[in-house]
Amino acid sequence: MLKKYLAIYRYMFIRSLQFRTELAIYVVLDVLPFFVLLFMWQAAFAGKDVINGFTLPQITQYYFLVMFIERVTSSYFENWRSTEIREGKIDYFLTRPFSYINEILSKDLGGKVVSLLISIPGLLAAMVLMSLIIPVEPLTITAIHATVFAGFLILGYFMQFCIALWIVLLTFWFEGSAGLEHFKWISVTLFSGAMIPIEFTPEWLQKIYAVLPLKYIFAVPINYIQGNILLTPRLGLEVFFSFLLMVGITKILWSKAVYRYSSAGG
Amino acid sequence: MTDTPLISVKNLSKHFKVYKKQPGLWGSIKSLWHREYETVKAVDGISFDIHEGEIVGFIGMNGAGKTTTLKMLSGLLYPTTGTPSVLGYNPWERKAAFQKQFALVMGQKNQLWWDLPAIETFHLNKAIYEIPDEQFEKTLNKLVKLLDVEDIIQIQVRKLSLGQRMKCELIAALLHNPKVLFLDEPTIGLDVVMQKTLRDFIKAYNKEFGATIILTSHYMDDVKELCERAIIIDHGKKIFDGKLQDIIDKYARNKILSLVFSKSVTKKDLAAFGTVKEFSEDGTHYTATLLVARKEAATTASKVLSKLPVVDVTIEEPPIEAIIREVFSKEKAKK
Ligand SMILES: Nc1ncnc2c1ncn2[C@@H]1O[C@H](COP(=O)(O)OP(=O)(O)O)[C@@H](O)[C@H]1O
Ligand SMILES: [Mg+2]
Repeated sequence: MLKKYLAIYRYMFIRSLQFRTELAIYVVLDVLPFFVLLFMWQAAFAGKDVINGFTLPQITQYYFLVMFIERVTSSYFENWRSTEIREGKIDYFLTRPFSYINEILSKDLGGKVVSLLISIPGLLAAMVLMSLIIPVEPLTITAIHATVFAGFLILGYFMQFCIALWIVLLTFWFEGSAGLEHFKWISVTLFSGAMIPIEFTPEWLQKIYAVLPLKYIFAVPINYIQGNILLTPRLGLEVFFSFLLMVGITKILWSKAVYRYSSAGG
Repeated sequence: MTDTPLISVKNLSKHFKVYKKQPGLWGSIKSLWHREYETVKAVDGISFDIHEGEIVGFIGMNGAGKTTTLKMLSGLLYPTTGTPSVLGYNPWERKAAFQKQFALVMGQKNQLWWDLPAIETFHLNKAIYEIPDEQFEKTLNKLVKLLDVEDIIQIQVRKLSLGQRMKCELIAALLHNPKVLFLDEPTIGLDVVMQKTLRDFIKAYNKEFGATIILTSHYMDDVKELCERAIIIDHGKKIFDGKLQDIIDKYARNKILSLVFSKSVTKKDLAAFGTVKEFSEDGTHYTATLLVARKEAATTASKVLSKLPVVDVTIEEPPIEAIIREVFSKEKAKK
């Protein structure tokens, strides 16, 4: 069984190698808004040392971590996958002993590995350059911290994957996915801590933040590696069950969605 | 042959709800708050049984419901009514054990990886179906030789011609030696020679593996050469199920003789040989089509050749539309 999947991942990997140049452009586009954001923070800190308990170097460090996590965990396949479904192009997977969700996951993972190999060195270089202009709080990490953080990254990837998949699956009911995609983007950035440290947001937003599991993608891992919080068994369980819940929702959504597949064309 | 059918379908239907878009800007704006839906009965209460080793031809005009039926038998579409049974499975459950024993090939829908050579899809299928190395090599070699595609399978699929692509589609679908094969218009858009190649290949596959095959087509020739039994579908309903020869004997008693002449001939000259269906002359081109009795088609053709200034002659099957019209009117009259 494992052999089957390894062989399939290998083919997905070959396929994803075809999009190298596109990737390089995306890296630049991804990082640019963050740098603009940092300059705005620098302006906000003019004449002040501390805002809401954060210093400018701490803020910079926060965003560097956000950038890094964003690169590792995010998935952007909603658009073309939705189109693929609407155009009836997933017959191949529905008639063969290999699930469509597995196809999405394996291709995305293949693409992810390639994109990380290319973009992480570039991202690090950009950060070093940036640190010459804006001060950054240095980060001291132990091996345990690094390992747990890596675990958070992997989990974060799967959570983002689930959310992107929901958008795709919702196209079985709705005609377009563009609106849903924006909705996803806004909720994930707002309620995960990716846009701004949660301490800066209004109380109502913090309440939603506390309920939703999106914080486990950005804010919680960042706070953990910064040494602000500990990985308690309670936290571990919370993360784990949130993840299970998301997987469960995905499964239910999928089993309902296939009834609506119309296999257009032919 | 066993008594229990391999494929069994009872009262199978698929209704699609389609939303009727009004044309123009105003129509689009109106559709924001009010939409009219219409129900299309693509398949409307079809029943049939198919036994092991049979090749059954599904014939019907465009939009009759052939593809939709095959999609339900493949588990792609959820039936509105009826639960088909294929190899003892309900296709909708998409059990791996079922999927490993059947294949669906659609002439109008590409299932190969567009950007990669076909050989990559073959290898992917090998992994997906968990085909053992030895069996894979053996089957692939045989199929590649039979269809003569050694040079093609290394080329990106999107650069292939339709016929070359179809050959690769068939190979991809047969690597796991399916027991049941659904072929949806496999010869559509192909030239006569390629159609013949594929037909011969399908026949050989059925012989060698005893595979059960449903083939849809709107070419009479396809069905005539491959299938003993035919099911005719019209507007989602089955209007005939039986020996193909019966249809031909009963409803397609004629063949069509297309003639091109070097000089003007009169309609009366032609009427001596059969029913004149079309007749045209414009001073330089003289053409006609004749309906002649099936059994006498060849002799009539040679008679015409010897008596009239013929430059070209072809003998064709009547178009499927004509046969269906015949069947439809006669079967209805019976009731
Ligand atoms: N996904 C779909 N949504 C709406 N109508 C459809 C869909 N698929 C097929 N139809 C309609 O159902 C009818 C039967 O289609 P089909 O089975 O493709 O016919 P055939 O294969 O015999 O040409 C046609 O009228 C077609 O327009
Ligand atoms: Mg069709």
